[in-house]
Amino acid sequence: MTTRRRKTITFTLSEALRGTEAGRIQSVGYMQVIPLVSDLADERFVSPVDGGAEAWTTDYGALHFYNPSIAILIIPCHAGYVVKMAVQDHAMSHAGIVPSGWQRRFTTAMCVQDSQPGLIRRGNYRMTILPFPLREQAMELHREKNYEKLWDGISLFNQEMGLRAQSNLGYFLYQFRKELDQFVAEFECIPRQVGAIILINDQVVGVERTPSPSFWKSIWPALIRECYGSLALQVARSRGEHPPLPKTRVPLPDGIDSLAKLSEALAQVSGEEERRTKLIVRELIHEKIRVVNEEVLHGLKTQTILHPHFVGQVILDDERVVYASLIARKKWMKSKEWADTKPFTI
Amino acid sequence: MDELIPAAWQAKVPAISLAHLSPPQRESLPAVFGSFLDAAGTAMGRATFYNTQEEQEQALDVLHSELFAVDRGIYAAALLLPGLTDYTRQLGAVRLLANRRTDGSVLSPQQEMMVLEYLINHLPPQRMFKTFELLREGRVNNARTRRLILRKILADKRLEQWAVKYRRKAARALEHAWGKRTASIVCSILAKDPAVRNDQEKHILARQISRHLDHEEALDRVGECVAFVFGCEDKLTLGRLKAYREAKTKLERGKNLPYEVLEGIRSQFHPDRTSAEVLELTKGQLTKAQKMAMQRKAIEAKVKVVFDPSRYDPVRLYVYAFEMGMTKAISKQLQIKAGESARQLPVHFGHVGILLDSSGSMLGHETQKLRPISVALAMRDMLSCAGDKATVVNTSGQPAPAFQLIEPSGETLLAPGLLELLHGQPEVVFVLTDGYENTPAGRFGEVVRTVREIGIETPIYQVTPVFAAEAQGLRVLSDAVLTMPLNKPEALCLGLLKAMFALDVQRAIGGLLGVTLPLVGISVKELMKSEEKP
Repeated sequence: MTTRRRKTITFTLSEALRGTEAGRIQSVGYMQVIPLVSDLADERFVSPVDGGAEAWTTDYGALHFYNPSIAILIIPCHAGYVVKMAVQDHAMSHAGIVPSGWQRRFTTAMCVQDSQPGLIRRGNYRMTILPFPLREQAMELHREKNYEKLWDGISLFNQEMGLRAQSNLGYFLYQFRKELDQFVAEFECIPRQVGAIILINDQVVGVERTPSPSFWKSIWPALIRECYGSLALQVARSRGEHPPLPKTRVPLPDGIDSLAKLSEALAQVSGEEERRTKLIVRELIHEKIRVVNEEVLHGLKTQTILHPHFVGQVILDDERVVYASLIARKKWMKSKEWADTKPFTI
Repeated sequence: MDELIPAAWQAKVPAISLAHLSPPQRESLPAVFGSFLDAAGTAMGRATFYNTQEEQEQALDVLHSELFAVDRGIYAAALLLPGLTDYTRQLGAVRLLANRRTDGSVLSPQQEMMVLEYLINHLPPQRMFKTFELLREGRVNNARTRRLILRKILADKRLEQWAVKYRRKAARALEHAWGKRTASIVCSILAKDPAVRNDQEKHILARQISRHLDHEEALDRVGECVAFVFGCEDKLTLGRLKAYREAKTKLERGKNLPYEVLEGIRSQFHPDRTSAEVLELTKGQLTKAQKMAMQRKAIEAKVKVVFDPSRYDPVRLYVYAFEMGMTKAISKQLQIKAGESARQLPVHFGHVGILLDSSGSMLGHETQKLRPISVALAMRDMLSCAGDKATVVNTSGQPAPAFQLIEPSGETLLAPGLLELLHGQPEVVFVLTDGYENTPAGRFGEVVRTVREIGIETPIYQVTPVFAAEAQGLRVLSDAVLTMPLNKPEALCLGLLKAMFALDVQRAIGGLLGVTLPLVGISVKELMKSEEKP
């Protein structure tokens, strides 16, 4: 039924995003989002949110899913559940597939709340996606069966965010709930949207693609709120609340003396912003990405990305990418920061 | 800013003396009043898309106390303004009752009491009982509070209905006003047969109940209701109270009870019966809000609940239309109501430009889903009727003519729409938005700044249906536009008043009192006379 093969294949980001095109960039504070829109809507797939999936744990590190829908359930990479019950909250360390009517158990899942006993009762809960700063580590350890594997990472993350250094993700989600909520209001889904390229501080930090607009709409709040929102907060914390204008942002010129000229200038700056946005994306799309097969189920291949700049997973139906989640490696982000600094002059 | 202030208003309203205010208080009044209005027009006491309930409450508390500290009379009059939320009025009434009067207020104690009575009388019952609950929790039990609670509960014609619907709340409020001991005495006297009550007992009832009633003969009816709310279910004669008792054994007997009361009895005493049966039995008792809210349930249960769109305000009609679909009857009512509201506005425009934010975030938070877009659409309709000509565009750059349902979706792109409107040279531009611009953030402000540099002075107003507590007010798109809060079209008056305060405080207070005090039967002339007295 489920087979595992380790075979590396190479493709480019442009292949992963085939069939989509970039929409107008949305920009607030340190974060920018380039929506990816498409006329392709593959309704054979649902997310745990729009598919009404049930989740529960039977042991620490064992997260179960039941797919009651008639479609195939794709569990987004690093999806998790932080529930109101006094139980151990859990998250996946990779993506997952659950065919219609199936129940699956993922024993590589992780506890995200230490010193809290108890198992999650079967139910339909609000899905979250791990904060960006934890996802690289989760991906590195995705094959390891150890429910404690993310505890050190969570503890460090909480500390970096000025919280108690404890391995409880709930601390962060509760303390910053207001700030995180604002990201949902600030970055809106647009019609036909199936994915997005996310930039923070002018740097691409994530590429997300889903099979259909309804799938996208259902997981976007978790992505923008917990996953990328957490990184934006972390950056704001280290760089200050008032970000400089992003490189993609072009201010209106001075000396405009009529409404007609203003309309013209607005069109020009919008055009220039679009050009700059495309430039950022263009730098990336021809990067060759090596992937390794994780499992094949119902003709769907789950693959893990092996790349010096990105980690993540893709799911392919034949050779067609139906789901992709790529996030930038910390090391690459640091080196980009270094490369973007000005050389020393005196 | 002056363009929107009705000239007639400016001429009519007298300038009120503010001698009792210190210079810093006078100076701070426009800002304090403006911030209060921003919150008062939209605050619902619930979480919004952006803020938790606690944050909303904290921010509101600051704004209320600031205006109250300047002058409690101005504060009281402000609570009467059309367009304020019931939640604001509830908080205001509690604050006025909880704080002892000191010298220096534009209203006398009697006038303030008239305002308080008006506020309590015009709150919906659930809000009114919540107000009494807040007074009880805050241990506010002065003579004014006691009189207000007892008069409101005992003298109201709806007491019988309240007795079954708000039984515990009414009991708590009465017990708070009377005190535990008196409540217990009243209750035991009422449990007796009226024929065997002695003179002392009659005297107690007269003091505690009859003196709050308009007619002495209502004592038997009121007494039975009071005994019922305190748990006495013997010798009942009133229809609803009897129905309440009998429905516990036979569900059908409860057909004249409110839906939720009978539903509660069903779930406790008749678990084998269905909610649909309760809905069928009580369909004649549904409130207008319930009739609207239960349409979907009624369809599922195959129960016909008559829905009359003429009885609902435009915001509710839009929320309903989003959920159940737009019908010709709803559209017709929207047109009628928009016309009526526009006629009540103190201004009429030649050409109005309206920029409608129809982006995804206008859907609102789940606790008030569809409310921001519904307010914006109702406002669009009213403004469209308030001018000889109206041009409406939405954030997708598409025309969004009045009375059309527009599903919120997509990003918030406001600047091109503004320019498109300005090209048509309107007299005024209203931007109906939650203030969360993202393509990119700040572009609208840049464009407005440039428009002003060019020399175009067309007034631009941001009308926002969302209260964002983090900014202690509204999310402002640009410092160069006046921001108005709004939870219903009628609240436009608040924006006009805010503009007046920024121009001339004394006249603005005259305007405020001129608009509000006649509602409670006080004329401004009377007020000025009382001011002249030493």
